[in-house]
Amino acid sequence: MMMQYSHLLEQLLAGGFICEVTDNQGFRYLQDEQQREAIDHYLRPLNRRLASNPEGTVWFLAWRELTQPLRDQLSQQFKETLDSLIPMLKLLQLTQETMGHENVLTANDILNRHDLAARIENNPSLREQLQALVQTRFFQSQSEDVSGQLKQVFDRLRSHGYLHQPHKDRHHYIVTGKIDYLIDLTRFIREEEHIYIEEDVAPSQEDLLA
Amino acid sequence: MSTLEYNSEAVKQGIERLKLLGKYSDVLMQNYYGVELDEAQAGARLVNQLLQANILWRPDEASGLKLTGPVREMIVHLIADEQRRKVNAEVGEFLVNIRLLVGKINAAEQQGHYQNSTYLQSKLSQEVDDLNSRIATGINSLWNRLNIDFAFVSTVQEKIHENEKAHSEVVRWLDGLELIDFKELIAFAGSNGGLRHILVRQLQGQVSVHFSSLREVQKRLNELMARFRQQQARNLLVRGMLQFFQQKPNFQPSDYAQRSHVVDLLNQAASVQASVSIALDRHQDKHAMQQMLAQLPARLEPSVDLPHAAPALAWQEDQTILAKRRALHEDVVSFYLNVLDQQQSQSALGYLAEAQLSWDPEIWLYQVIAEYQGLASSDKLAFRLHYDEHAAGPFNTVLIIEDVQLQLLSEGVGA
Repeated sequence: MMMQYSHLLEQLLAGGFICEVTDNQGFRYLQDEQQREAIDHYLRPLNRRLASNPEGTVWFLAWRELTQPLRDQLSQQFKETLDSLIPMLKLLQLTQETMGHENVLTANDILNRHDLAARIENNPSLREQLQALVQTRFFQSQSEDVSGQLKQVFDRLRSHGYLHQPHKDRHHYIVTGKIDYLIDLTRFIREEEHIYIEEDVAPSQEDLLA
Repeated sequence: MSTLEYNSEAVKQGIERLKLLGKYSDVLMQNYYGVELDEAQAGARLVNQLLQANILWRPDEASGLKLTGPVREMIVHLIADEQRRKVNAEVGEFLVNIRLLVGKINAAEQQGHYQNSTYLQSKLSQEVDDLNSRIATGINSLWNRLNIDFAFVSTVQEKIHENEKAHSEVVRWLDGLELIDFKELIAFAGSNGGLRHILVRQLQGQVSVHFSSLREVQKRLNELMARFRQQQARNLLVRGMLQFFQQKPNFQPSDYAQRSHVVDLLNQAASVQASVSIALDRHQDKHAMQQMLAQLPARLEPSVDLPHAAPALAWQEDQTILAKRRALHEDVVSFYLNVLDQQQSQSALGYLAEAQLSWDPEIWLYQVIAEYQGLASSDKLAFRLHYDEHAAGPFNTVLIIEDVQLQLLSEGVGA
């Protein structure tokens, strides 16, 4: 039984995030508690176990028991994630604005790189935002033009597991569940640090009529 | 208000119809409380006017005139008719009509007016159909709104608002359906087979279908609401956190990984690469291995599964480093051969200058020493390496090698 899912295990061990977009079959497999237990049992000697974000939309491996060197490694890793956090949030905002989406990007959303490039190309404010984005350490691109910059951004997103490219030769990408992980992490920081966010609720119809 | 066009058709029409409401408020309020409008007394002209103005409507040919939904709603709001608002005007009214009709039917049958009873029964049947179609239309409209995710409004906030409205609609229908007391209806029907068929078999079946549809709608509305709320929270979070980071560029969160309890979100194990090699000692696999080897492409592509593209770069560097190392090794071998050819000892740095090689002197010396140490012991006997060294400083006894002399032992050089 396990043999069939050796690919899933390899992905997990290689530090991959498993969601319904990246590995639908593997993700379904992980929905079964018994299978999860089997994997956990297997991972025990490696001091690893399965972990997920609070909603269970994305799975990855966590340390089973933490030692000081492992904690230090986690601290370091968290610092690196933090460095990518602001550029990532800005990217979410940029795509939302560019596509005229009502909501922030979420897992299963489809992005077409060419479409996105064309829209940014025609809007100086979006171009500026992209320019600022590629100057961050996380996305850094030397490219002068929008399509080159966007290519770099997409390559980075793909290599960090935020985007899944179903066909290598096509330009559409699917947002993976790792974005949920990033949002959850952001929420966690917000709650831990008691960061106040002002809720500017849009006026409802009644308010407008009143 | 100055921009309002007083002469526009819509404004004129609105004023006219509001006047109609005022003029016939008596009759309309009576109708609201279930008194049927006497059409003969009111006159065809007035009836037509009220129908055209969308104040009254006729559910079907045989039934009397009724207040239209918006007018009824307006009255409910105006007089704060809590009872009706709660119990649902439509079902409440339906029940009043049913009770009235059942009474009339029973009376007609007692008096032997069977023709009248049949007529009244068809009216009752229509009343039931009427309620059914209204509930079905209501549910249909709810599904329509659900299926397009309330796309007719643009913001999440508005969608949440629409969802709440739809939800209260469902609750109102459910409350209304709860009002239908089948025990009461069974008692009404008594031994009358016709009534029993309409009120119990027909209505009960339909009501239970409506119940389950409404419950399904309610479930979907709740799911959708959860999604809307989640989206709204996400949008707010991204926007709010970016604003916060902008205001506090030097913000540093605490080091959560050092806490006694580390949440899973922050506990991400380092990656391990599961690599395997062919087990050459398993003879039973030999054939399979041969086949696999034959099928291997000339060069393995860098694994597409790995998230980083870095290995390819490192591999390239390795190649150039290897090439350099090989050149260095070859130059040092040439130096050794030169000593052999010349049959006399030579300074390593001297040779470096003489041969006009571009190696860093220190690296060169290391390589000459390493080469000597790497010689087979039989070859080693032919050479001797002499270190030109001195102490690093007056108080530091570390010896620094300035140069090495490669000497030929066969030459008989001792010192």
